[in-house]
Amino acid sequence: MTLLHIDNLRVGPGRSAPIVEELTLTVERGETVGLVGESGCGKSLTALSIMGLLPENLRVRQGRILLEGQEIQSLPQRKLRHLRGEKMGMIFQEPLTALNPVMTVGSQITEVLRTHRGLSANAARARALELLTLVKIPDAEARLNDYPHQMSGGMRQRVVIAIALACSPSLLIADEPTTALDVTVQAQILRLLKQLQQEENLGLLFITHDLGVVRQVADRIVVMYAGSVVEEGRVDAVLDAPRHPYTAGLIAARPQGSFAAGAPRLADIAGSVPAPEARPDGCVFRARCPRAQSRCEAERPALVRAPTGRATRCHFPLTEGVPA
Amino acid sequence: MNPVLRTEALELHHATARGALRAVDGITLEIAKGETLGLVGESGCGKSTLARCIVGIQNPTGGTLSIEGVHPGTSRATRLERARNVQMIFQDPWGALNPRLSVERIITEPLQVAGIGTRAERRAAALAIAQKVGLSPYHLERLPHELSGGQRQRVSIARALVLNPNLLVCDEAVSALDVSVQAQVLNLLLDLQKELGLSYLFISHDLAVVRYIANRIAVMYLGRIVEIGPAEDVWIHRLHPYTQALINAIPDEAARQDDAPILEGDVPSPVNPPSGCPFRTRCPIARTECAESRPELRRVGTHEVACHFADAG
Repeated sequence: MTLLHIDNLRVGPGRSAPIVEELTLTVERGETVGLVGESGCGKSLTALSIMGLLPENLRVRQGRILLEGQEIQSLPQRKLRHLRGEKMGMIFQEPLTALNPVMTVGSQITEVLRTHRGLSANAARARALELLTLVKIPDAEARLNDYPHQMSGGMRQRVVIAIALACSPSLLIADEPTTALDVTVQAQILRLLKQLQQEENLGLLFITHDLGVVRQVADRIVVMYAGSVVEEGRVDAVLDAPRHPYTAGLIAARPQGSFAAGAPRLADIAGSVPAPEARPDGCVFRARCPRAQSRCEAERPALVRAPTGRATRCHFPLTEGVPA
Repeated sequence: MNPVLRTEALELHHATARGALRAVDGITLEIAKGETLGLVGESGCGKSTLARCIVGIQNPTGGTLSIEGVHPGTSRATRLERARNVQMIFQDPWGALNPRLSVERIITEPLQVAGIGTRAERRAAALAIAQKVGLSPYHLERLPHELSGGQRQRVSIARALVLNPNLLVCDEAVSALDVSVQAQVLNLLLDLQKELGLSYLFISHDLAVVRYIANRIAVMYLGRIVEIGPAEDVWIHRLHPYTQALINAIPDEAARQDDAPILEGDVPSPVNPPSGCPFRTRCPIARTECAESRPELRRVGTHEVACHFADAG
C-alpha cells in the first residue's frame, strides 16, 4: 500500500484563489521524494496540509490525503494528534524556533514518548538517550540536560530529528531542514537523514529550494510552481534533461563557473512568481516563459504522465533540450 | 594608485565575561578599483563583523583601515566622506528598508543627509539611479511592502549607489532571494560594476555565487583569513584543508557524491579558540606541530595560505 497518497488537493482561504491546486503526489516506504520550488509555490503548505497544521484561515477545499490508505484530511484534531508522532513526524527549517527554549532537550524528547507511548519517566529517558545516540550526538547522556541555546545549530537540528523519530513514524516530512545551517553542517545532516531513512525504511518527503540538495537525497523530484506541480520524475532524469521550461530555467539560473574566467551571464527568469490572487489564466508560468504561445494563454495545460512516471504540465515541453 | 580599501591587521575584540571574543582577529587585505573580493566562511567566522568595521557601523579595536588612501576619522564630516565612498547592501530586503517611507524617499535620503542638491535635483537623481537598477517611476511612488523581494533588493542597491560610492559591501545580498531572482540581481551587480567601475566586497555563504562573481576569494575561519587568492585558482587548486572541506561540502547539482569526505564537528568558540592553528580540531591532516604554533599566511603559488602543511601532500 502506498504510504502517502495526495490526490488532487486544493488548499486556500476560500472558494477562489487557491494557494495549492490540482496537487497529486505519492511517497512510498523507503523512498525519498524531493519537493522543490521557489518561495510561494505552495510546498510548505503542502507539508502543513499533510500534518493537519494549516493556519486557521486556510483549509483543504478539495481532494484527499491518504496515509497508509486512511483518509486524514478531514480527521478531527484529536485523531490527527495521535497520527502526528506515531505515523508521521516533521522537521522544520529553524531548529531554534522548533524547540522550546525553557525545556531541556531531554524533557522535550521524553514528553513525546510519555504522551504517545505512555512510557514511565525512566523508560522514556532511556529511549531518549537511545535516540540522541541514533542521531549521533556525542556525549548524549550529558546533552540530555542541555537547553537548546547551549547547542550549535547542527546539534539542535539533530535533536529535532530525534523528536520526529521518537515514536518510529513511517513518514518523515522535512521542510528545508538544512537551509539555516552552514554548508559543512548541512552535509552532516543530509548524510544522517539518508542513513536513518534507510535503516528505518522511512518514507521521506524532503522540501527544499536547493537543487543540489535534492540531487543528493532524493529518488524522485516533484517541481512546483505557483501552487501546482509542473514536472515530476526520477531525480537524475529530471535534472539532467528537464522538460518543463521552468525546471530548465531554475537549473540554468544557478551560477556555474566564474564570470571573470569567462562564464556566461546568468540565464535569469524574467519577472517574479505571481501572488495566488494574481495568477493568470491558462498556464501560470506563461508570463515568464520563453516558449509561451497563444495556446498557453487560452488553455491551462494538464499534468501529462508517461508510463515511466515522468510527468510534465506544459503544452510545448522541451525534449532532450531541443525544442519539440 | 591607492587601492579602494586597505586593512592592516584589523581587529575587533569584544570584552566578555569569559574573556576577549576575537570576532575579527588581524585581517590584512586590499581591494583594487573595479575588483570584487569574495569573502566566505561559516557563520560566526567574523565576515559580517569585518564588513561592519569597513563601513563604519562598528569601530575596530586594533589595526588600521584606509579608504582611497585616507584613514577615516570619527567627526561628522569624515563620516559623511566615508559614506560617500563606501556603502552597504544587507541580506534582508525587508529589514533594510523603512516600511513607512516611499521608495523615492528611501533613495533620496542619503543625498539629503549629505546635504547634496535641491529637492528637485535629488528627485532627478533618484529617478536616474532607479532606472539604472531596473525600477520604473511607478516603483518610486510605492512603499516597500508593495514590492517583491527582488524589487526591494533593487531599491537597496539604488539607495547604496545614489551617493556614487567606489566600494559596495554586499553582505549576503542575494541570499534571501529565490534562484530566478537571484540571477537577475547578480547580473545587475555585474552590469553596474562594468558601467561605474565599482569595487565589491561580496560576502556570502553560497560558494557557487562567490566563485561566479568574484575576482579574488578570501576564506575566513575564526576571525582570520586562512586562504586568499585569485578566485578560480583558490577554487580549483584549493590548498587549505578548510577551503577544501567547504567546497567539497557543497551539494553538487550535477551528480550524487555519496562518498565525499565530510568535515565533522562545529566551529569552536571565538572566546576560547584552540591553541596554535584554530582549525586543527577539525582538520584531517593536523599534526602535533599544529597545536604548538599558529600558521601565518604565506605565499604558495598565486595565493596565500595559513597552514603548515598545505603544500605537503
